[in-house]
Amino acid sequence: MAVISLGGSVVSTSLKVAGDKFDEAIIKYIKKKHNIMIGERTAEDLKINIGCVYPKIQDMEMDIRGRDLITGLPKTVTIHSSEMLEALIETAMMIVDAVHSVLERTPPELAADISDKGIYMTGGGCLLDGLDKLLQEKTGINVMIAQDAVSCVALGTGKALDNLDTLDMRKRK
Amino acid sequence: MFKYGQDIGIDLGTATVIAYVKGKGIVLREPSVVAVDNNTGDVLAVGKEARRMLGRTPGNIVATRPLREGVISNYTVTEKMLKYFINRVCGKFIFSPRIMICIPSQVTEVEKKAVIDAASQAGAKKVYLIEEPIAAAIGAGIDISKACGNMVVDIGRRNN
Ligand SMILES: Nc1ncnc2c1ncn2[C@@H]1O[C@H](COP(=O)(O)OP(=O)(O)O)[C@@H](O)[C@H]1O
Ligand SMILES: [Mg+2]
Repeated sequence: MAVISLGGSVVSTSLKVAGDKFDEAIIKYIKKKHNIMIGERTAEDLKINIGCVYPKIQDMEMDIRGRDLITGLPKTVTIHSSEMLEALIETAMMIVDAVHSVLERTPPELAADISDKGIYMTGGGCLLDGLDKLLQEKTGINVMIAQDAVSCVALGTGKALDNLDTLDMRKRK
Repeated sequence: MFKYGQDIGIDLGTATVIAYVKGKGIVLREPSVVAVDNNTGDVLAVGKEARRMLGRTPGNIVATRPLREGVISNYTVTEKMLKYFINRVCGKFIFSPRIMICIPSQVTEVEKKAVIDAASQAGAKKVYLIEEPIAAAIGAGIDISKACGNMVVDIGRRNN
C-alpha cells in the first residue's frame, strides 16, 4: 500500500494482511464454532461466495463439507454470511488500521489530496464484500474499487512502458 | 502474430501471473504454481495444471507457489516459471519485446537480478522492473506524473 505523487511512492507500508489471511480466519472459525476441519480451497470458496466484512442486506448461506473433528468422518454443514462477518471482521480491521497508519504518516498536503480524490483499491482481495464500505466508514474517505481490480496491476505494468521517463525505475538491458 | 507486439507487462502475483500486451489486452492469466520433481529438479507443470496438483502429489513431486509472503521464496523455480510464461506469450512475437515486470516490493537485489536474467534469457530485448503500488496506480487510471497525492491499497493473496 502506498501514497504516490510525482511518479514515486512517498509513504508506503507492507500490508501484513492479504487474501490468504481471510481464508485462515475462516478455517479457524469453522473449526472452533462447528468442530469441523475444512481445507484452504473450501475456505476461499466460502469467502468469495458468502464472505463479508460489513453486514449484508440479505443473509446468504452455503453448504460445505469438512472433517468432523469428533467422529473423524466427513460432514456437511450450512454456513451463513453473518458467521463470515464474525470470522472476518478482525482481519479486515487490520487492513483499516494499516491504512490509518499510512494516512498518519502522510504529509498534510498529500493527505488533503487523498481525502478529495478518495482511496483506490486493487487486487483480488479488495473484492471481499463490504471491505470498501468498512474502510470508507472508518476513514471518512471515499473508497473506490478500481475497474477490473484483479488485472489492474498487469495493465499498469504494461502501460508503464509508455511512461518510462516519469517513473523512477531500475532498468537493465 | 501481434501487430503492436513490442511491449509486454507481467504481474508476477502470489496467486496469479497476468500478462498484458499493448493493443491486445490480457493475453495470459495463470496460477503462479509450479510442480517440480525433487529428484531431478525438472519442472513438470506450470500454471493451471500445476495448481491441480497442489496437495495431491507423491513424495518426489512438489507443487508449490514460489512467491510467498510477498518475496520470492524459491527463485530457481520462479525463474523457470517466468521463462515458461514469457515463452508462451513471446512465441507469438516476430520481434523480441520489451518486458516490464511488476515485483513485490520486498524483493532483494539478488532476486531482482534473477527476475531480470530470467526475462532476458527468455528473449526480452529490454527488461524493466516496477513496484506494485505504482503499477496498481497506473492500472487504476491515475495520472501519477502530477504533484498530487494518491493512495492505492492493493490486496493480493499474500502480503505485499
Ligand atoms: N470475489 C472475491 N472476494 C474475496 N476475495 C477474493 C475474490 N476474488 C479473489 N479474491 C482473493 O484475492 C486473492 C488473489 O488476488 P490477486 O490480486 O490475484 O493476488 P496476487 O496479486 O497475490 O496474485 C486471493 O486471496 C483470492 O481469494
Ligand atoms: Mg497482485
